[in-house]
Amino acid sequence: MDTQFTKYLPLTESTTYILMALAEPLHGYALMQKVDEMSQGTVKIGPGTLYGAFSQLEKEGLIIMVKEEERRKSYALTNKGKQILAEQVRRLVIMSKNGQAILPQL
Amino acid sequence: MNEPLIRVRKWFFAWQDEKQESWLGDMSRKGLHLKGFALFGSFLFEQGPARDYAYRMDYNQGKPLEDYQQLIRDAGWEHLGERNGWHYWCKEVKSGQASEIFTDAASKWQKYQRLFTTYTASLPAVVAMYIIGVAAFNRFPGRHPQWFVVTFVILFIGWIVFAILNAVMIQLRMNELKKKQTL
Repeated sequence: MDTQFTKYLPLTESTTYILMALAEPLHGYALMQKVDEMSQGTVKIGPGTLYGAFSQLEKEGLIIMVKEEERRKSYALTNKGKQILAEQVRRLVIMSKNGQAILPQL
Repeated sequence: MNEPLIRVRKWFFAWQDEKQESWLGDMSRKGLHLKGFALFGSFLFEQGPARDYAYRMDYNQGKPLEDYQQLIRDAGWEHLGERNGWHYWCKEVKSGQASEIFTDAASKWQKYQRLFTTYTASLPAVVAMYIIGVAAFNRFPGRHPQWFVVTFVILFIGWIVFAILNAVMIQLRMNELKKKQTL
């Protein structure tokens, strides 16, 4: 893992889901629905929040706009975005293994 | 045949957006649905069946970004209008769960940051105008009628105090949101 990428980590739950949902290019509303579905309703991203997240992630080079149709912008992951997401998921796996091991002892 | 709109005057400070949102929701549950705005802080309502609508206010000065508003529309919100940079959005509440335009503390914070800028950005210019005005009164005594000087001072001091009060209250809201972000 490139050390320059660790400054982005850990990602928030919303950002992690946004990047995961962008495994295929999506526009904003489709992404909101996909995140709702993937997270089984545990993560809801409002349109105002998502718009800001898109701008920020694009500025940082984690995602890129691939299409604009009828005022709807579609985004896709960049290589950098994929690497950061992979590292985030690796950390989450470690964390959730720890959590599952500890829960029965509580 | 259109029913006449009902005009209700109610004033809110800029930092009371959530209070205003829930008041608009209460009005809708009484069958009064926001349709537009009139002068001096008045709201225009249309009488209809009582409904459960969520109202949300976003703050953006200047020309609205079309892709931004499109995304909010796609999420099911109806744009009711704009007043002084505040954009009013409304969406029906389904299964008791109101949806939100901003779902995290960071994006709410940014909304207040935009609002804060409005109140602080004009402040230096207003203070400068006040200082120039007072200097002119002192430089040319007796040239300006008493009532003019008094009105000038009251208006400017009033505006400066009002802008500072708004800025401070908005800053307090932002601090609360900052605390929420850390956990």
